[in-house]
Amino acid sequence: MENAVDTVTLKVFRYRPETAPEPEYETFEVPYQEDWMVLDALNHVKDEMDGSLSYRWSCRMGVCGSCGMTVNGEPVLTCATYIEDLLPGPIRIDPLRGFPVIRDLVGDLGDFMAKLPRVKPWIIRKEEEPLDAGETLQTPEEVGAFRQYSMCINCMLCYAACPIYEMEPDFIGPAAIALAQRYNLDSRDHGADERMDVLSRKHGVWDCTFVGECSVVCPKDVDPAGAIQRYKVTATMDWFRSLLRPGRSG
Amino acid sequence: MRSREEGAATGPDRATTGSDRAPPPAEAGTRGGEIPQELHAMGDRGAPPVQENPRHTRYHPKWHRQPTPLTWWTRNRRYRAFILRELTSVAVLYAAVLLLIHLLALDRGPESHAAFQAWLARPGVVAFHLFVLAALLYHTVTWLNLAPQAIALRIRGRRVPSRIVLLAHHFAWLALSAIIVAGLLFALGDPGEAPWP
Repeated sequence: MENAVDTVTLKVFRYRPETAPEPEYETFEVPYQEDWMVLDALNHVKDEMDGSLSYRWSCRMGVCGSCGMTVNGEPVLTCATYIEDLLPGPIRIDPLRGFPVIRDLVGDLGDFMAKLPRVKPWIIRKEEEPLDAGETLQTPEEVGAFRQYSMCINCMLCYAACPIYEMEPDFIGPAAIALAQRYNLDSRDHGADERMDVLSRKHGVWDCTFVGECSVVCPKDVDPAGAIQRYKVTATMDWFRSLLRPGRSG
Repeated sequence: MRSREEGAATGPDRATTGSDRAPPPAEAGTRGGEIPQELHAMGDRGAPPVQENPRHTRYHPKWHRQPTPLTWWTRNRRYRAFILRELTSVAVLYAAVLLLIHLLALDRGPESHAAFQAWLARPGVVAFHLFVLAALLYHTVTWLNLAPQAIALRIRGRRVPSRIVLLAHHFAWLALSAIIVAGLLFALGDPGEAPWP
């Protein structure tokens, strides 16, 4: 690449409901630095050019899951997206798709926060054991069965990538199902039946048509699409079992 | 508490003693923690007054919702591949119905079957069926390609690599197809009397 580039143009989605009823794009010319991520450029805008630009960020290293935005049409973590890969620009930055926009690049993620506890993403035991019974040990294989799904950072890129969620907001969604599977596949957990009620009913796994984009955009390789399809297999097997042995499961 | 009461008590005195002149704004601001109305409305320090959106209500802001366009699937290559996979399922349905009609024609006797054969041999129909075949192949291959994501096979605690799952599916498909074709050729015996043109 030639070193001629010293600035790059950002086309940033602005929504300021108190002054403008409709959103608009604002263009910022920011200095280009080789090691800059898109988030660095946004921070430059906020620090040096327009302090009113609103967006979320925190850790700068792909752990907190706050800085998800749509960059050139793709949902990404802006702290992990090099400007260099998007040259010569302009770079278009939009809020995550599928969520109502509160202001500029800030979406309201309350819908996910309401859905997540419905899948009971915690370990459910049939009987609580006393503390002096000691730890519940797991083999590396048992940890390996769910470890992938425990990597989710709730960044919402999978929801933004999902056309089903965009069109059917009641769909419980990729991350919530992947997190349900994280506990279903845990050898210490006994809550699979309770989660089945949420996952295999209306707006559960069967809303998914396996577009697969959630797994493509996931920055942590959680593979929510895989989790959903595997759960469809589990739910189907369960249904067949209930046909063969009626009365066992309601 | 006491000092505030004293302040309140002295207030009217000051107001009566200085009733002939209005207090300067700076003084008004320092008393009783009241903020002058103009400054409060302006919000940001030194910011120029902005034109307000008349539809905006401060504590019930209107959130922006982007409608999903009908052309959402044109956004990227993977969405297009998905829509094509879904659409080509119509070809699967067509092939199944065609087979049923073929059986029906066979059941109605030699004349009906011959008429159906003649229809199948028409150039337009042949061209259309080549198109259906291409759609069927696309649907089958892309559908089998999804198998590794849906199947998590574990042998002795270790996950079977997705490449193996994928190859096994494609191999099974090709093997079954070969068996069906071989069976057909065997049943028909003389290839000269094959039911295709």
